[in-house]
Amino acid sequence: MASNSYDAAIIGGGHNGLVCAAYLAKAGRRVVLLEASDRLGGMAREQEIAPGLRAPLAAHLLYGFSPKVANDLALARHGLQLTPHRVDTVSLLPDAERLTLSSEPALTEASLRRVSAADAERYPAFRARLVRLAAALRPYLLRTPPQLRLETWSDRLEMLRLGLSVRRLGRADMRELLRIIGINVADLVEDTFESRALQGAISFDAVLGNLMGPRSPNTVYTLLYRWAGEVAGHAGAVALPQGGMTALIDALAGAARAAGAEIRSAAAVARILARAGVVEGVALADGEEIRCPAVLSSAHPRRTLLDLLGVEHLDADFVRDVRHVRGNGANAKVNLALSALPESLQGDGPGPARLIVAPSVQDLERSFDQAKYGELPENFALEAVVPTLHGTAGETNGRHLLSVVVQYAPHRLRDGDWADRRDALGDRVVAMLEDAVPGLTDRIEARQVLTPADLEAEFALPGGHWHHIETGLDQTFMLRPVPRFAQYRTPVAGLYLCGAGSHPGGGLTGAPGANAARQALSDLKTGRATQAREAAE
Amino acid sequence: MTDVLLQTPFHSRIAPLCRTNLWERWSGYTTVTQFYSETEEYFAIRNTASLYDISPMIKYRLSGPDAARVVNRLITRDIARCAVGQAFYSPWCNGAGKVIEEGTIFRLGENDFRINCAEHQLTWFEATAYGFDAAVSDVSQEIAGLALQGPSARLVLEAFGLEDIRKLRYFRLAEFEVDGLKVTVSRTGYTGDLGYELWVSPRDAEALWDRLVAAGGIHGLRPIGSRVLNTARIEAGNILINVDYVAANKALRESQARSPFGLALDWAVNFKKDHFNGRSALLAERAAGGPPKRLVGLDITGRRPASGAYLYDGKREVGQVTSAAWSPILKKNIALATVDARYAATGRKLMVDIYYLKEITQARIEATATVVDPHFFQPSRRRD
Repeated sequence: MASNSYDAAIIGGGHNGLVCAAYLAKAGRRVVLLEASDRLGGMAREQEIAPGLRAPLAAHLLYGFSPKVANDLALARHGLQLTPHRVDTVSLLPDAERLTLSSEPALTEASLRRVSAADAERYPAFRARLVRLAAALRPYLLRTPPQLRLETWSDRLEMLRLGLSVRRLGRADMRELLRIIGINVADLVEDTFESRALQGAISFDAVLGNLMGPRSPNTVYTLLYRWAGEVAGHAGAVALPQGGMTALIDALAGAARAAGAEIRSAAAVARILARAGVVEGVALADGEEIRCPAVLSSAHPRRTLLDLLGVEHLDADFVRDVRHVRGNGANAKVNLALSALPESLQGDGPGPARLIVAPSVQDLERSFDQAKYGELPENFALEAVVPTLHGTAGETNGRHLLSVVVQYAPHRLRDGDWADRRDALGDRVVAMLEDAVPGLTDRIEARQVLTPADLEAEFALPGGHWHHIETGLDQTFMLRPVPRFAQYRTPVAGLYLCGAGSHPGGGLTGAPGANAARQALSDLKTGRATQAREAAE
Repeated sequence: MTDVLLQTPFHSRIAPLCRTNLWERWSGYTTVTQFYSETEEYFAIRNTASLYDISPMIKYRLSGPDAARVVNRLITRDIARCAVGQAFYSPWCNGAGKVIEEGTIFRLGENDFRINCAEHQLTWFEATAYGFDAAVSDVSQEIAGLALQGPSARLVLEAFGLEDIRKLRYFRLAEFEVDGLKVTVSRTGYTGDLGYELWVSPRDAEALWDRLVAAGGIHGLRPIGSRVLNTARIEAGNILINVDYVAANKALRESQARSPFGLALDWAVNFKKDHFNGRSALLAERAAGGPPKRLVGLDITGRRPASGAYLYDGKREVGQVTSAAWSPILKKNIALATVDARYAATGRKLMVDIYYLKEITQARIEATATVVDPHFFQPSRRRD
């Protein structure tokens, strides 16, 4: 066997690629992971924007990183510590008003009472029910979706499992799940609450990350998906790892290396090699060829299949399906290095919080509308965190980092292009925050603005969507990324998708990487690729 | 008011000859079902020479630096084996390996093709060309066509002025110019007989017709309608879309779609070439033991065409006739049918339930059908 031959090559050193590499290596396979850039981490990467201040380039919170993955890969042993402390959601409202949704019920109730006594009463039951419904869907995040044709017993069993899990909810909850899962979140929150602030705050969780407004179809599903996340047993909670996202990536890389995986950065894959419907390996940009019976790509499905593999290996209708997957991004990122923390973010506040700007359903929908038509909205929806308050961004000497996710920055601008609008975007975001956090502007030492076009270029995301493709109901579970190819396999035997474009989708869960690794391992064992080659000859 | 149906470029010549006034719709054009006498028209195909207006056929031009790769990606045969100036009959499949249509591909140049078919295929061809440097365009209205078929077809063309037509081999095409009339002639056709198809600019259609008729009179050249053409194509075992199979992209039930194996086109699938649409699915179907249903030819006792008849093995229903005809030349009752694969072996006997109208009541006869090669009548003169 030649020295550069492996059982599996993994494309992309983001968290899913690393998870996948670690699982395969743990199973005793010879694995090489190939990352195009000189640093691992993908969209969990951080970058120093001012001395000592590492800013997350994309993801800044950890929603539902799979506890099973953390356990299987013994990430704690490799230095991962997920902070148990509370991260409350604080909605910044006009006239310096705030609404706090905390995992401490008393805090939430007190805050809600100031806007609506009725809502304060209704909220706990609403929240509890949605968390229950989300929990019924949760087991599926770590499982491989069945095929709808249910040709095998394992597919039938998988379908039965989902059915049972939903059935176990009881009649009332099941009816509610079926009633709401396809509808839009605006209908749900307007049906339940009278406070515009609360309606807006809940809707924000439903639309964040997708080019969707609160009135877009199945935004209740996207809300449940987010709330199905699980951190240290707190349903629906969010958290930051000690040491920031870098710590998560380091732990994953450590686990992969410890299991024997070879990790190579600055190793850009130029082509996936295939012949007669069977993968043969990858060719790197520098001309090196790596031969292996399995290639798992955590890159965007379109990039993997249309660019790296090439349409000539695929059926025209499959190519059409892949091209038509919805995945136009709606997010930008603004990172601010602050000389000091503004007063309104200090002191007796709710502690390390997730600040959001989403004052009402109407505001969100209006911004969405503008983004939908390719305009830069007058107001964005925002999610901001101060990683320095969590002790995750290193030694800061009183300086702080404000990390802002901008919702409704359309990937495709109707007029002009993003290179000319980068500063306008940054200015608009800072101005919006200044309203709620007086004194912010004066304390800005450095500013980093990543437009959807920057994210597209940085992370090779055709469409600039940071879950690769939208996470609506029609692009989830057995329909993700395209119907009939939801089981991480592709039409080319031995080529797998192991990134956010596969079930369960985007966010830092590690589940696509883990599921794809399991599928590849089982195929390697049965020699599926060899069989495919023999069948063709 | 706009006409509901268009007239073909030959209409002015055809209409006065259509003495039955029986017309039918074909791809938005009005075309003749029967001109005068079914018997006379049929025997023109088999004994002398026949003219049939094929202008409504849908025609695509596919060209560009990658055109040959795109065609190879589209069809199940290997286009590398089709020389410039050659024509290729081939099915094309969707990703599930089911036949969308079959048609004739003319290789006009190394990377220049014309595809003739019955259904609109533009979006599928464009989807297949995605990512390649090749352009697809619908040239249906730019080309008028006549099928000249029958044992005397060559004599007609010689009299028409194509002295060299003898050199044009089976499934080849060439361009000619006769007294200023530019005509592309392909030695192709749907009748299974010696025959040619003539392609001209619509401007030249009437001149072509007039000169062919003038040259052909002595050779018994007759215009024919679709009714007798259908008999001829069943005799030849040429399948017809929407009759013998459902286009895979239009089939409402997945079980209705057929792979090339299911249409007795096994010979037209080449797994040795580069990837083509449906390749993996067809490999899988082959590995799983072949298609669940197969198209077969039937030789049926009696004289009643078994149109739409069900086929039985004892009491078990095992298939259905899709095309049926009494073959005047073979003096046989023939049919094309789709049967469960395990009843498709040549020589297998099945029971046919034939219903027909007897005065005003439905009569039923039980006949015996023998599975035979569907190419009932393909005289060697078609390729000599």
